[in-house]
Amino acid sequence: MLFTSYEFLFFVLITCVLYYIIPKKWQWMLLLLASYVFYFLAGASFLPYIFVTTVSTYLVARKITSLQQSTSLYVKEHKEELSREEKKEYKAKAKKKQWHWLLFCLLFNLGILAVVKYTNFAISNVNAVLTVFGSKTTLSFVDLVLPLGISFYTFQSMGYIIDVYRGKYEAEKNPLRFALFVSFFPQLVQGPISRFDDLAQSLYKEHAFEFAKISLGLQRVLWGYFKKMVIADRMLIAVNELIQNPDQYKGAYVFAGMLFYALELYADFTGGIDITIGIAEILGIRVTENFHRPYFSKNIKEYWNRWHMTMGSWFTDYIFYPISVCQPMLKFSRFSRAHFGEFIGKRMPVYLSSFVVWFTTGIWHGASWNFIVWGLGNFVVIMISQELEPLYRRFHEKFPKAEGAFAFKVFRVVRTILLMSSLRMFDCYRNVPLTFRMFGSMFTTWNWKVIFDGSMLKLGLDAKDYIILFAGMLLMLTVSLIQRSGSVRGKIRTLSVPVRTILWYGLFLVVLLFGAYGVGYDASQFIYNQF
Amino acid sequence: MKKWMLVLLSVLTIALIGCGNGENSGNGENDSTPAPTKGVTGSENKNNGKTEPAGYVFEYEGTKIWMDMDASLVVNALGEPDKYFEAPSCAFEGLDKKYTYGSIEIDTYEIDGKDYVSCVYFRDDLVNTPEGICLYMTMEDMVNAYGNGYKEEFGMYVYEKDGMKLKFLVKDNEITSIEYVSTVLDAQ
Amino acid sequence: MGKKKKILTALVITVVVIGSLWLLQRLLVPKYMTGIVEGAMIAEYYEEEKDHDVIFIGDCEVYENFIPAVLWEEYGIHSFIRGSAQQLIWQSYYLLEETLKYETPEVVVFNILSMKYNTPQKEAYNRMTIDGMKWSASKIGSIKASMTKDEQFLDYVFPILRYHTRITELNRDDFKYLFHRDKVTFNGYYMRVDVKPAEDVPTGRPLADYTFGETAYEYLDKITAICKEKGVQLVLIKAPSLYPYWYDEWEVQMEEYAKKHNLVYINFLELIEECGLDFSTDTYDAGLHLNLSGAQKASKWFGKFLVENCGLTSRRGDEKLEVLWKDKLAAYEAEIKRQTEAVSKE
Repeated sequence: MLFTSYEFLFFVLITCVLYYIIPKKWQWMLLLLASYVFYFLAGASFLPYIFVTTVSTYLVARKITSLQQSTSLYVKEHKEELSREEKKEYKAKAKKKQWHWLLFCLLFNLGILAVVKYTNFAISNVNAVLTVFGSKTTLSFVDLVLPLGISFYTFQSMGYIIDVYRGKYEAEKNPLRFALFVSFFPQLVQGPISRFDDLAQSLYKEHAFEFAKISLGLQRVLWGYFKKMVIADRMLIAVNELIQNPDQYKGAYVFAGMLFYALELYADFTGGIDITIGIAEILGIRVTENFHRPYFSKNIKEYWNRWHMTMGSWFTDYIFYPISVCQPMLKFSRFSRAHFGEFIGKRMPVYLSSFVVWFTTGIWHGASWNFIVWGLGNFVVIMISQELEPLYRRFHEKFPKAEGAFAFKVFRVVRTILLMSSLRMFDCYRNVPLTFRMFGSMFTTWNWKVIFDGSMLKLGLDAKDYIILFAGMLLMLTVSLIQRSGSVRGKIRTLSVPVRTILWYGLFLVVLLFGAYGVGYDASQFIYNQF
Repeated sequence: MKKWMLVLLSVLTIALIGCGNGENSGNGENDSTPAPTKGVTGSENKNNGKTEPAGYVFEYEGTKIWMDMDASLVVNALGEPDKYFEAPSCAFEGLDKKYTYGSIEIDTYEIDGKDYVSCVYFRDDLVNTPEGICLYMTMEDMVNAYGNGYKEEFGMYVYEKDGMKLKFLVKDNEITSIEYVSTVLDAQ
Repeated sequence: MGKKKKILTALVITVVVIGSLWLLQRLLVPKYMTGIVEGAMIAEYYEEEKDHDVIFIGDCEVYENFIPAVLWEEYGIHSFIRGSAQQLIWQSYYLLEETLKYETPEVVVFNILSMKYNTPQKEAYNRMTIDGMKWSASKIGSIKASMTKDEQFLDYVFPILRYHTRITELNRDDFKYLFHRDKVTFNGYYMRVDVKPAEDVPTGRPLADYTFGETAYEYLDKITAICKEKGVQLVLIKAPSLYPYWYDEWEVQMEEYAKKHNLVYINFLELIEECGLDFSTDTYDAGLHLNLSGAQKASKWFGKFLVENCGLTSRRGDEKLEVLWKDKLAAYEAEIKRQTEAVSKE
């Protein structure tokens, strides 16, 4: 059930109506039911996977919490009898036990993710190695189900179990409530990756029908559909044409494709998140924001703090931080300082941790070398810009006015967009060498006239489509600019009723009329007509 | 710890048993880009035909013919047809054309005023495929030339390649019809 | 804001929103008034006096080959053609089912070319056949039977969802025909007077399987059954169109079917000479469809057949019908004159 299908709209409508009709104490149960129905409709064979992850995480979390409780109870009760060392030893032993349980849960669930998502990728690499060594036999690929949203719900559950282990909060007692946290349908497919302490409270609370809140939620959903259907799905047509025929579209086409994809991905992903958050708002539930006008970022590091934020913070909290402070890393840090000197020695651990984070970020996005290289590309760019930091500082000391200058701000925004877009080419083309070739063709194939000579109108979009896209982009930009001084919906609320109505109804009409959905009406598609 | 490993392994195995459903393998997620809906306004209307030979390519009097190629190239090369018939479509603009040249018939379809080859049909046994098959040969000949990768229905043996089909109709072990067909015609 | 004022505001907004959406939808649906007129055919029936002797059901092979005006003039038969482009057999069935709710004619004539299709075909043809129907159980049945895999039922309920892309290609017709339509047929007959001789009509290429599909037969059975139930005589025909090719194997199946169900079956391809058809002058597109002169010949032959074999009697003299047909014939003659002049100018 795609967000843009009639079925999904119908499903959400029914869920919302029931949600406010039934007794409030049942609301969260309805959401659990709806989430499982949603998941079932996506694919009945997916259900065992989410079920196993839910049950295993729930049980282990309960176990860890009970171990923590019994430990502190034991220590409390035997306060007098135990020496300090004994207490410490007892606690350490208990912690080790918890650690074993945590490890089991992580290995088990990440194992499932690894098997379903990466088996074929692993096989293809083994085969490549075999071929290099002249082997004629290769492993055959396995036909695996990749359950919808598995990367998202697995990460969300693993974040939860680590938090429980760290004692950030106690494990949820009610297994059904926990099941809802894992499966909450609006965010199941594409995130955000929520934290239990952020989401749980509003997820289980009783929510009264509030017209104002619901209309705010609807407005956000509508804005999401605008981005998704009017811009992303329209842009997609040209993007697909460009990236699926790399031999035909080189040089300036690659550059155009790069920018088209930047627009499409932004509109698609943020639009989807707007729909998710909007639906949650209609249900009275607050879901964490996932974007903060990322294209306005000064540099790539900042960009990653503003794009897909819940994923970034997940990697920071659960991978970067633990790796940076784990015993082997501290040892390595001491070792490298001793052997490579202060300058390199200081950097080695940071580089290593960042490398791991970006490698995993890459492979999390998809089981292919494209994504791994993409992740490492980000790593390289961030590290370089970190190393150049002193240079930038000197520049700003010399030209203190640059920082505030409009042109300089624009320059940085353009730089961010171009850098991120060129890295994202790995997301587009079939394989890594091809991506490099296509990137190179921007400098070797000198065909910039195609931008203006009408060639762009042969990619499946006509002039009207480009006008719609351009207008849509301007609207998104305007909204982002207004957003800097507070919620746009909040500002619109202060306007008079007729103006408000015209604005929102106008947006609805734009989605209805200019959305790239449904069977295109064009007689030319009827190529074989025989009565 | 060992016990856990055992449990882990066995559960993973169980998880694997549930796999293998081909229908869902295409439902992969791409975490950064939610699966976009199929674009409409242009994708299926855009068709520039096939500019390079694709699928099984037929050759007639030195002219290479492949499905969905620009029909004017063939017609210019082969010259005035022996017979020509055009079928306008009910209610829609666009003509389906049939050209007869000696031993073959060539069908075309029209998009945006341009004709593309949709079919080559063998009229007699004076012509053969580049792989050496002509009418009235046997099914064994066909299999020797094209292999076993066909789909069969009611005696029609279909070899599919690069969005086109090569069809042999076999009756009583004898090939009674040979057609190269574009799959554009199968749309819907 | 007072409560009353609030309710009033909400009411006004609702009315404005629904009203404007309704208007937009009317604006966006194709009007089929110029160029492709076939999409306007189905709706024309509803404005008719529903008291016909004969109803034709089928695809272009009925609406281009038979002329109700000739049947009236020559034999006093009051008839109407419910046909549209590539009208598939289930669409014909549901149209018949709907028609029989309005009236019970003496004879229903069904052209069997559509037996060759067993599955939904083209979305655009579906829309042209179905959009013109008024909402009824028959329309719902027709939609469900016709939808291709990419189609959605909701797109039929709210055509604006289907035609929203036309917002960038609206033309003068869309405004001119916002609230009304002109007639494009003469009791369902689509007229063409120009001539294009039939030459080199291709013969059929061998098929793997000549048996008509199960679904096609299922609906033919349904057509037969509903006619029996209503006491209407069903006449099956294969119209005199040379192309698409009509296979002998198909002919045998239809003959057997007619025999088994005790139906009249007429293959006009075997009556070309008897009707006096000359395909060097009687077709406008090289044998696919008859032009006016051809359709007049076929209609004359068929009218005589209906009178002689189906017990139809002339209703000339029926005052109400005479008045009705006076206007219809005038329009029919005027169109002949207009087209003839246009053709001779070319």
